[in-house]
Amino acid sequence: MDYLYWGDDANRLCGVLPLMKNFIMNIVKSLTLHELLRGMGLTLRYFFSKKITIQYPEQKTPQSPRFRGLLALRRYPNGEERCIACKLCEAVCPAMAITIESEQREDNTRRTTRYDIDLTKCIFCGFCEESCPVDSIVETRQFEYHGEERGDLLYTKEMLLEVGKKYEKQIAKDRKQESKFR
Amino acid sequence: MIKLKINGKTIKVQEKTTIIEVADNHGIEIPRFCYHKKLSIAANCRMCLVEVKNFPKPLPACATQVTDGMEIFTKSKQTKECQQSVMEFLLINHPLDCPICDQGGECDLQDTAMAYGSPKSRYQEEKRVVLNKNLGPLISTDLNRCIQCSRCVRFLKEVGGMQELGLIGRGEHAEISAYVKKSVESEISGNVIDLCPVGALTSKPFRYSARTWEMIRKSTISAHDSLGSHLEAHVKDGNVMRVLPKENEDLNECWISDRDRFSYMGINDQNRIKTPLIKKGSTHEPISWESAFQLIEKQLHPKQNQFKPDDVVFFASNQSTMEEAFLLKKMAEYFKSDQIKFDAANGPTFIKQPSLNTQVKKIEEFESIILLGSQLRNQNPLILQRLRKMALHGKSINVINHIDFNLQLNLDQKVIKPITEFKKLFEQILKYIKTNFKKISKTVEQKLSKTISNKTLLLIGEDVYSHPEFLKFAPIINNIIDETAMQFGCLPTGANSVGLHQLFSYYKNKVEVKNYQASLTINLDPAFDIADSEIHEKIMQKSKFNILISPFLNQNNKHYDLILPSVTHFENEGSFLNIESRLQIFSQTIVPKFESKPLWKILRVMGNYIECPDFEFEACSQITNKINNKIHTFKQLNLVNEELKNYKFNYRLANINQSDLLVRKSRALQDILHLRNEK
Repeated sequence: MDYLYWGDDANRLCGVLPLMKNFIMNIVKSLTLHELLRGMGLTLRYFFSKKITIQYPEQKTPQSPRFRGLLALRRYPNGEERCIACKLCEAVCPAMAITIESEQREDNTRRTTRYDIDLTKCIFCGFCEESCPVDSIVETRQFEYHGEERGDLLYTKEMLLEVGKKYEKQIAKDRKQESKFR
Repeated sequence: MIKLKINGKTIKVQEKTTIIEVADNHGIEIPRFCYHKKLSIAANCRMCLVEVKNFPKPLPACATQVTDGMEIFTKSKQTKECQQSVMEFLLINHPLDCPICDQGGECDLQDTAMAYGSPKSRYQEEKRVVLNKNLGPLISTDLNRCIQCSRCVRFLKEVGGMQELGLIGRGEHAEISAYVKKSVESEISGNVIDLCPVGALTSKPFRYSARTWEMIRKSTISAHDSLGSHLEAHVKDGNVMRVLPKENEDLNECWISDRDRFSYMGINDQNRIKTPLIKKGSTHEPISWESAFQLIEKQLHPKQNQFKPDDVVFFASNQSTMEEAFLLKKMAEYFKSDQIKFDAANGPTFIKQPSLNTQVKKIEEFESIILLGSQLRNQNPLILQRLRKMALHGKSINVINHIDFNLQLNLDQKVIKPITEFKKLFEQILKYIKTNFKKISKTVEQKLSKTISNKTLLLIGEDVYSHPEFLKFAPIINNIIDETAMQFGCLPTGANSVGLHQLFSYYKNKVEVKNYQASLTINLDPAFDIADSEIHEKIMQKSKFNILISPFLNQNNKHYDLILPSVTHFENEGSFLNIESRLQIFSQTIVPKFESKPLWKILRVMGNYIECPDFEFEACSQITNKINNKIHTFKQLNLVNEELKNYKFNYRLANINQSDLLVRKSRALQDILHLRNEK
C-alpha cells in the first residue's frame, strides 16, 4: 500500500487527497444502491418504449434497395444473358471468390463458359456489382439461404442465373430506384 | 553533339535524332500511337505534339529533328491542351467496348486516355461503323476500334516485305483494308497484333480466352528456327494461352515469326500420347512407365542381349537440346554405335561446325550480302527481315540459288542456275576478281565480282552445304575469301543444329541400311522430318525392337514396339546453341501434360535400367554444366573430307508451317497451309 504512505513532504499529501475523495464516494454509492437504481431505470425506460424485436421469420426488418445479399446473374428481357466475360468482377474481387472462363460463342460474341462464385469465400462487399459494366452480376435482397455441405455454397453459372431469374422483378426495381445515384 | 533543353533540363544529344528518341532515351514520357522505333515515321496520330520555344505551333515529337539550343516542353499547358484535344478526336469514333476487347488491360489507347485524356466526354453524335475484314486464320479484326495509326500497314510493307494491308479512303472514311478477298500471308504477320495500339487487330486463336492480368509470364526460347528468338509464354492454369516476343536487339529485335507465335496451339492436340504404349498385335495398349522401362531393360541391355557394335540406331530431331543430345551421345557410345542421325532436312553436311560465324546483329554492318542457296523465307524469316532492312537502307543483297524464291526484297543481283553450274559461276567470279575487272560490268558474274569486298558476307544455306556438289565449288569460294577477305556464314535450320554439330561429328549424319537389334526414333515423324524416309522405313522393318519417344503419335505407328510420351518444347527444359553459337538456356513454362516426361529424364532413367555408366544426373543443369561450349569462328570454309561424296541428295522444299511436330499440330498454322494450298 505504497500510496497510503504519509511522507513528510506536503506535495505528496496533495496527490493522495483525490484518492481519499473517491474512496469515500464509493462507500456512499454502495450504501445507497446508486448503480442498481440507474440500471433499473434504463430497463424501466425500455419497458415503456416502442418495441424493436420482430417475430422473424413471420415478420421481417425493412431492407434497403442497396441490400447486399445472395449473388445473382441477370439476363436481358429477351432472354440473352448479360455477362460478357470482361472479368472485371474476377479482377476486383478481394476474396478471390469468382472464377471465370471465357470463349467466343458461335455467334462471335464474348461469353463465359464458367462463372463460379464460392459463397464461402464471398464477403459480400459488392465490388463485383459495382465493377460490372452491364449490370449482370448483382446482389439480391435474398439472405436466407444455406448449404448443408461445403460444396453447396459453390454457385455455378446456372445456379446464379436461376437466382437472377427468380428475383428479376425485385432486382430490376431496385436498380431503377438507385440508378440516379450510380 | 548538340545541346538542348527538355523541360528545363539541359542534355547533350547526337545530331539527326528526333525529339521522341531523345525523350525516350532520357526517360521522359511522350504519348504516341503511330510512332514505333522500328518503323518509318508517319506522324499521323498527332498524339506526340510538344511545345517548342519560338515555334508558334506545337510540333510532332516523332517527326521533328532536334536542333542546337532547342527548348522543348512536354508538360506545359499548351502541350497538355494539345494532348487532350487529340485524345478527344481519337476517341470520337472509338467504341466504348473495352469490356469485350481483348486488348483491354494492355491497351495503349486505354492507358493514354487515362493519363492524358479529358475525364469527360462531350461527344453525343453517332459513331462511325467499319465492316470487319477477314485477314486469315491468325489475325482477327475489329476495325471500329481502329485509330488509323497505320503501324500495321508500315510493318507489312517495310518489315514483312509485302504491302498486304493499306489505308483506303480519307478523313472519317479512312479504313484499313487488305486486297480484295485476300488475307495477310506474311510469315511474320502476327507481329501486327503486338503493334496495334488498340484492339483493332487481335490474335484470332487467343480471342476472348483470357485477360492480360490473369496470365503468368514465363520466358522461353523459340525452338522452331536456329535464331532462337526470345519468347514470353503467357500461362494460365497450366496452359500456354499465347506467346509474345521478348525484346532482344541481338536476335529477334521485337518481332517473332508466326510459327513461334502460334505453335503453342499444338500442345493439347488430340494426337498427344498420354501414357507409354506397347504394341499388342496391330494396336497399341497403355502400360505403366515402370513396365515400359523393364521391357527396355530386357530388350536393350547390351550385355544381356549380346549386342555387337552398331547394333542400335538412333534417329533424333535437330531440335534436341544440348542435354538430350549429350545423353544420347553417351548412350550411343555405350552401345558402341555411331549410327546416329539428327535429322535436318537434308542429311549430311559437308562443312565442319556450320554456324553464322558472326553475330546476328552484325549482319547489318556489312555492305553487301550474297545469299547462296537457302530457303530463308521458310527457314529463318527473322534473318530475312534483317536483310530486308539492309535492302531498304540501300545495301546490296545478291542471291545465288537454284530455285527462284521470292524473298520480297529488292535484290541487286539474282542468279538462278542448277547447282551443278555453281562451280563455273564461282570460277568466273574468281577470275574477274583476280583480273581486277574495272570496265563496265555486263554479265552477272562481273557485277557480282564487283560487289565482293571485305565488307561482304556470304551466307550459305543448309541445302547447299549439305549438297555433295558443294565440295566441288567450296575450294573456289575459299580462294575468293583469300583474295577479297570476304566473310562467310552458314544458315543452319534446326533450333540446335549448331550445338549438335559441336557435340557430334555431325557430318556423318547418315545411317546404313542393315539389320539392327534396336532402333530409337526421338521426336520425329519420319513422314515429314526425315529426308530419306524410305531408308527409315526399311530400317524399321528390319530392326527387331523399335522405340518411339515423342509427344505425338506419328502418321504411321505400326513398326513401333514401344511408344513413350515425351514433352513438347514448352514443357521441356534445357539449352540450345543458336545460329551465332550463343548458349541459350530455357526452363519449363508449363508442367508436362498427362504422363509425359521430359526427354532428358526418360533417357536418364533408360540409361540407369540398361546400366549405362555416369548417368546419375538429378537436374538438367547438372548436364548443362558437363558440356563445355567453345565458340569457334572460322576464316575459311572448314570442309569435311570427301568420303560421303557419293551420297544421294534429297532436296526438300522447306515449309514454314510444317517444320516440326509441334508446328504441324498447331491448328491455326495448318489453316494457313490449307488456305495457300487452295490457291
